[in-house]
Amino acid sequence: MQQIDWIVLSATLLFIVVYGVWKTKGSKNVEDYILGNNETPWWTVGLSVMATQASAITFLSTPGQAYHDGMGFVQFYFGLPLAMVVICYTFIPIYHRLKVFTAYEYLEQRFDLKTRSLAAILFLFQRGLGTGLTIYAPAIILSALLGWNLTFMNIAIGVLVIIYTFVGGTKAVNVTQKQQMFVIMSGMFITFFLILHLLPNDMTFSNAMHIAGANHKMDVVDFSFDPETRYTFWSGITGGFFLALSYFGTDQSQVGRYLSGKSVKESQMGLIMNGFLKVPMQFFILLIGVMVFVFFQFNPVPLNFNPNNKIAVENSKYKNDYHTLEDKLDKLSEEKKEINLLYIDHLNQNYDNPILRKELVALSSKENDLRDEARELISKADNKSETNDKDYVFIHFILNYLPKGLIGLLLAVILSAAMSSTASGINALASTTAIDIYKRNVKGEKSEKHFVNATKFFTLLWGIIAILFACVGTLFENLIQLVNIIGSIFYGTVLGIFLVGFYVKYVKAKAIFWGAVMSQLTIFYIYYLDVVSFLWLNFIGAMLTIFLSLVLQIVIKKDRITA
Amino acid sequence: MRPENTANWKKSYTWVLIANTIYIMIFCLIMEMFS
Repeated sequence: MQQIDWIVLSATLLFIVVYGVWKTKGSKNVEDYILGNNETPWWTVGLSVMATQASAITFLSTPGQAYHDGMGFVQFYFGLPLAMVVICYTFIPIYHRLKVFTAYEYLEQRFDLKTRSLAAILFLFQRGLGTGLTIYAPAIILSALLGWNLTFMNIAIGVLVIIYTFVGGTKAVNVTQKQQMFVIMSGMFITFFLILHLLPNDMTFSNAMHIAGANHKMDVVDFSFDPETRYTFWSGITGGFFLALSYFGTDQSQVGRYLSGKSVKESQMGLIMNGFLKVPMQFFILLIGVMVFVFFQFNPVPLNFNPNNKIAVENSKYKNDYHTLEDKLDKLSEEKKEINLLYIDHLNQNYDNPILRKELVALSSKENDLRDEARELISKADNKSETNDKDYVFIHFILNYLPKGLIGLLLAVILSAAMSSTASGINALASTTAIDIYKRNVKGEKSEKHFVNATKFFTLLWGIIAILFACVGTLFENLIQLVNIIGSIFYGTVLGIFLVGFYVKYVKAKAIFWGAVMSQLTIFYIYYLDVVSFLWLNFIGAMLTIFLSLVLQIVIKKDRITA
Repeated sequence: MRPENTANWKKSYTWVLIANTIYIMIFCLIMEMFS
């Protein structure tokens, strides 16, 4: 990191924080602090929704995912536009009609207090852990590569977010997310064009796409029904739809964004914007990863992108074996480079040489074998290490190949993404604690100012909890997996409760509460048995909640008739 | 939030789905061209 990078990084982040505080200080009432006084225009709602979902891990992991496995991950988002339509059509008008501050408030009006409290507590538990992760995940990666102190990074990210979220509430989150999205998208566009510029001179974008295609990185859509393949068109349309419905429809960190819209129409338009832009945006981020892959076909590539893994092997008895693999990879890379250059030469003469394509596939397969062998050595050297290095691919490229100044901008992109998701998380946790738990249980008449101060206090409290959780993140072996599993375990039940509330008028409070409790316990048991991938628990949880509540309602009704 | 008639937005809903169908068709075309 050069001085100019530090200047770009600090100036960008400080500007966002100061602007957020200056623009939004002085909320007079709860409506102002939690709903941003319903003044947010549709495009700010849309940017805010997109910035909330796009965490730092999106920009660190997704290009790495494309580098290793190609563009197929985009299919995971195919169900999202459909979910946006359902939320715009059903969820938003209902939330609006009931004038709610949080999604869970609706559940008391439709069912009863205990169902509302159950959903709110499930949310607080899962989002509390998730918000800690949004700070911890980029901090651990950046500290590994830049040598920065992990605890200092966790505290720095957390404190910057707490400052403006505490002062301005939802309005500050929305205002800063506009700037953050601007920084993120400009940084990503500049990087994309810079990668193309760094490719060999006679190489066009079309040639780069051909090289990616020859290495099976351009297999975007897979219509097969193979259950072994994680990302297919069908799993994206079904699993992706239910996940997006849970996340955008019932998670307060997202619901809070569109509840701040100027009108129903503006809130709907914000989500429609997300439905239009999400798939191409993910495609673009994955394409950056694919272009990084093409770049490394002509430049030295490490055996494993995580520097800590190399250190672990260097300090073990497997050091020499690892060096042998590195030598093999260097030779293979040289061979690949020559064949790629020859392939480009043929492409420039309008000839897509099938023999060279086959050779490229064979060499890629050999490279993957070498990487697998390296992973085995890393695991033997340190069985606790995460051998999957996809989170480190893009940041390795940024730090080693981007010019001065741009490194600072790209680090600002990653930290802005971390801050935008964290801010929404803390804001939603504070709103839910204040409205669904505190306000609902506090005795006596209290002023508006009292509740604004209470929400501010909970913002501070959840911010500190998120930092503390991020600081003890290293105690958990695989934190990302842990939080994804927790999300999958709880999201389904909460979605089931909301779907019954919206679409199954027949089911009443007692049936939904006990149906949800039984469904949640069954999900715990299914997870314990380990019979299905945790990715399906969300769908199963929602269906079980609907089914069990219906059965219980029939039983309750029969009992009443008999009595 | 001010109440508004959501009927006009049905058109936008349709366009979102049409746009995403076109994206998927473009992805298939890209696959056909480069894979």
